[in-house]
Amino acid sequence: MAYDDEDPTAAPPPAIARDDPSKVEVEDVEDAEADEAIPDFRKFASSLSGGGASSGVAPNKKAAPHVSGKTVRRGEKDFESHGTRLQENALETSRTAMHDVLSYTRTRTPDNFMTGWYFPEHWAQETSEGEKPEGLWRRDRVVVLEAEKGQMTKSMGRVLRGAPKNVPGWDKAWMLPEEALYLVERGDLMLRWPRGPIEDIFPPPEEVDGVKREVARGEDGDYELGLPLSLQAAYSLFIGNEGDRGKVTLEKFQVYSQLRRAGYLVSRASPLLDPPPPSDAQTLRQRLFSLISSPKSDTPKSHPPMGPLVKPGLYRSYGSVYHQLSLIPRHKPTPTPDTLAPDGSFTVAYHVFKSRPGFTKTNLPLPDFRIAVVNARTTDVPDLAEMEALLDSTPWDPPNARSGAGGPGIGHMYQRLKHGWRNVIVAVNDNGMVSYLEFMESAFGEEKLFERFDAKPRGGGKKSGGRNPRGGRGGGRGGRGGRGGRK
Amino acid sequence: MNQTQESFPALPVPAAGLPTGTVPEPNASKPEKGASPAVVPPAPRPTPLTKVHEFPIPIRTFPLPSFYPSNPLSLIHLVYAWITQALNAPHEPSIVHEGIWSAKTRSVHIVDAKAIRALWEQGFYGKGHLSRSEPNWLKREQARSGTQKQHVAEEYTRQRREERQQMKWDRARKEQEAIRRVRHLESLVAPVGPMELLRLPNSPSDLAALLAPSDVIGESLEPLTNGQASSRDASASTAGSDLSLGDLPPTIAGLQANSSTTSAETLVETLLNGDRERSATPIANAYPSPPPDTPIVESLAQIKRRKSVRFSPKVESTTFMNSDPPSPSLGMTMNGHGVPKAMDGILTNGAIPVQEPSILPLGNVTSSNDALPGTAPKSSLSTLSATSNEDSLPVVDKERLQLTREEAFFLAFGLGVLKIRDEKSGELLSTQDLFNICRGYSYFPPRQIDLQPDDPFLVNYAVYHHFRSLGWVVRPGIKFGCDWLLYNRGPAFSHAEFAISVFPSYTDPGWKSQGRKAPAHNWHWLHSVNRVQSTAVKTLVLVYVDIPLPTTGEVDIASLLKQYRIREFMLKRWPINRRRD
Repeated sequence: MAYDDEDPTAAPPPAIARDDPSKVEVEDVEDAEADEAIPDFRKFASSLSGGGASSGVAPNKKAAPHVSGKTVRRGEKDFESHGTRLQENALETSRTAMHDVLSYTRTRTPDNFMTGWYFPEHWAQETSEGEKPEGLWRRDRVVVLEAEKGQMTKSMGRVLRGAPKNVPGWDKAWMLPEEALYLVERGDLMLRWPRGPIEDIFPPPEEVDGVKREVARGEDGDYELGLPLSLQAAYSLFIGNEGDRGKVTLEKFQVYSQLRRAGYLVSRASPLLDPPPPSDAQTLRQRLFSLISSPKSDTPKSHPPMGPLVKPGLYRSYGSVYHQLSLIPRHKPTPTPDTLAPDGSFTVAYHVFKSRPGFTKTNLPLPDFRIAVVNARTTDVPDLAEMEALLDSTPWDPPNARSGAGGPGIGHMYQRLKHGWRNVIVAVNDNGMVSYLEFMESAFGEEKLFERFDAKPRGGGKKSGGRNPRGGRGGGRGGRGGRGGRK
Repeated sequence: MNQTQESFPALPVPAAGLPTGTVPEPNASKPEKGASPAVVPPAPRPTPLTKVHEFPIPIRTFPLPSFYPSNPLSLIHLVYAWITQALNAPHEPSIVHEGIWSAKTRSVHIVDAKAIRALWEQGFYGKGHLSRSEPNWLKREQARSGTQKQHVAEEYTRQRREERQQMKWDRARKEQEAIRRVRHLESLVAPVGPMELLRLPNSPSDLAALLAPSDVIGESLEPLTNGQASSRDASASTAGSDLSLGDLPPTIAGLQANSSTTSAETLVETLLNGDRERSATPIANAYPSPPPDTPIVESLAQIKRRKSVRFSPKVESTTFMNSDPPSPSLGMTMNGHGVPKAMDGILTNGAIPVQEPSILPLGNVTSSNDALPGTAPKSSLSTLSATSNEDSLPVVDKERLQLTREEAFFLAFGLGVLKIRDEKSGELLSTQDLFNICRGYSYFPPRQIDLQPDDPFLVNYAVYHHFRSLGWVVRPGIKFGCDWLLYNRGPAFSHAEFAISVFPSYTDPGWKSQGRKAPAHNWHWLHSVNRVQSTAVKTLVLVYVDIPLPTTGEVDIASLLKQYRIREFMLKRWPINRRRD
């Protein structure tokens, strides 16, 4: 699947363990054409073998440190066989390189390897009230870690601070099903099915001193306490339908793991984590401002019922002409939308963070992206009600100078319109192939293009406005497939 | 009053952001319309685009001159302007154009040439029915017949396409050359492996090729042997080289490498019999013989193998090189003069103009050729003589401007610069009548009663009016798989930035109780539309039109349109690997 994806480098071969997602190499993206490129295993293989060595050399275990943080680079596409030995050799080299990469031996250091226990009913009795302070989805946390190790736990699993101390496992990290499944799939987590209650594994501290019990359990003790679970077993335990407690839908898990492998940090979305809308004081000021400027409202009081809307007469400016044309109410985005009943089919599922140095899971920053996950086969393009409900559930994010849209030029105006006032990403999952679409609430009524007609000195400035701010078409590439020109 | 474009001056820059590579012809001498071609008057300065499209709508404004306190004279200027405008008050819109509602084409036609120019230049309304968009058929015709040296957008597009084709073709040729070079180098090594031995001449694979149909032989010849053979044949037997010259299409001048062209021509004529029409036409003979090319190309031309494809014994048989473009059209193979005739669709042979009235029910659409009584349909061979006939006849502008229903209604109802007559009765239509006609004709078959608030016309018009009233130039977007395209200032200045897809929606509880729902679009549809827009560097905007419930009483047009609610949502692909920073 990783090889026919639109962005093939999204997923390195599963054989390669990456220790630190924050060190994921960012590839230089040159142009949109790179979408169609394919991974070049030759370069990757040479990086496996310690760099500098010629391709085709089988990577060895010593190369492991180099592997971390490497991704498959894109190569050149070769379209058809033209019967030269040069081409045949290149193809053979690539095949060998891919074979070497895929047959790379995985090793695991014990200090990264964790054991988790499956206790689906442990937090089942918790009410949603208990989530108030943090929004941790604690009823869905079904796997408890014996100890947090490695880089992965920096963004996964939570110790439930609010829990009472007499509950066993209160001081351990509990994981959501998608987190546990992702770790099992990576090979970082040994999942176990307990034979007895949780007290056998995490004895309450007041009964026995914990140190003694821990030591007594030892290597073989684990098997007496519970059985190790296979990856298949983990899938059957964690994958469920929408709304099942302690499970995750397959679509969501696929999106989650794809985002994780692409180097993002992902947390399950909770409305409790959203910042409150901007304070009323600001909106009050805006309201006052709009009261003052209300005489210059967009729409004239009355329209000639049978037209023409523009009454014949003398006009000093185009603004007054267009003012009379304004007829259909224009959308004005507000920070506090009229709350609509949330529609079930489109809700934000995950908050996504770019990987950054100071990231801590206990103190989440504002998410960079919000992602809703839908099934491509069972859902349709959202209608107006669904779209409004989905976007109104996201925070107010108007275009501003920080998003590079502050200027007066036409390019900045385009930027403002494209940035929108709210945004959300919908991951459309078609049986594992995921397409991400970003929807922005826009408001063309906020950018009155006609105001430029009056401001500009007419007739002057021969080449002032005629230039396209984006500049030409794609650097003069001819386009092999006969790309359509623009009108 | 606004008719500044009496003489249709040539635009300095072709429309729609052509690349600068297409330089206009260096000889800028442009004869006047009526002047004889022999007298070359000084070239008129082309009007800048900003001047041609000075007014964004067909309404002029009269801003008062600004007053500078430091300059007392400016006060006098201000007062003078104010007084003159007060005494002789300009009444805008000063010109109300006239259109004809054509029920057959479900559109409104503008016949008057001044009105056509005005509506095109001031807001980019409509489309010339003989042109791609700008109504410039007359200019094209004049440029074609040589009476006026003018440059029209279509011409630039054609040139650009030709250049692009040539560029791709050159690139492919270079790749082929590189491959050939490698192949040649490899062929110098002694064949040792089993596969190489099999590829040697007189091997079983050659036998199989011999048994195959004859026209496949060229393909099935192994490249290795071919390379060897051609390198051996570098001495180039004369008959072989001459044949390759005659077989080459004339455009590929770069490859038509033979210095002895004169002898080749006679040989071609003797060697090729009548079924090679293209080579035998006077056009092909009149084609200037190409200069001798660089030696590498020359040797390559000799290396190239030939493939002979015979489509039909009667029509045409042509031979082309392996390295030719995939489908060299006839237009490409002719030289600069011959091409527009083939491309324009208004060919000088009588066949196509006869068909045109049936396509366009308005009639009156024929090339000037039809004016000649008894002109028998000419074959394409007599193109040259037809052109000379044409020169003596003045070209009459037969082009009309077609307005979509939305455009026409906006001009009539919104701006009041258009009044519309019925084609049959010849009477002026009232705005209400026009409204009902537009709504009724958005169904098929057209209906007079049972007009719904979700008429396709109403939904589309609401969107059209919304964006027009904000100052955008809105044009139909069917070529990009969407409903409308939004231009800033117009297609002559910049590409469309946004592509609009209209979604009617029924959120009113009344609709829900009726069980009325908008037609669902699946995700595959959305992705395909969005892909098209991203390849054309546009942004897709989903525009939802919330439709009001049907009203019981009589509602005037303005109040009806006010009930619609419009929401815009931008759509962008979110490439997972590009947003990580």
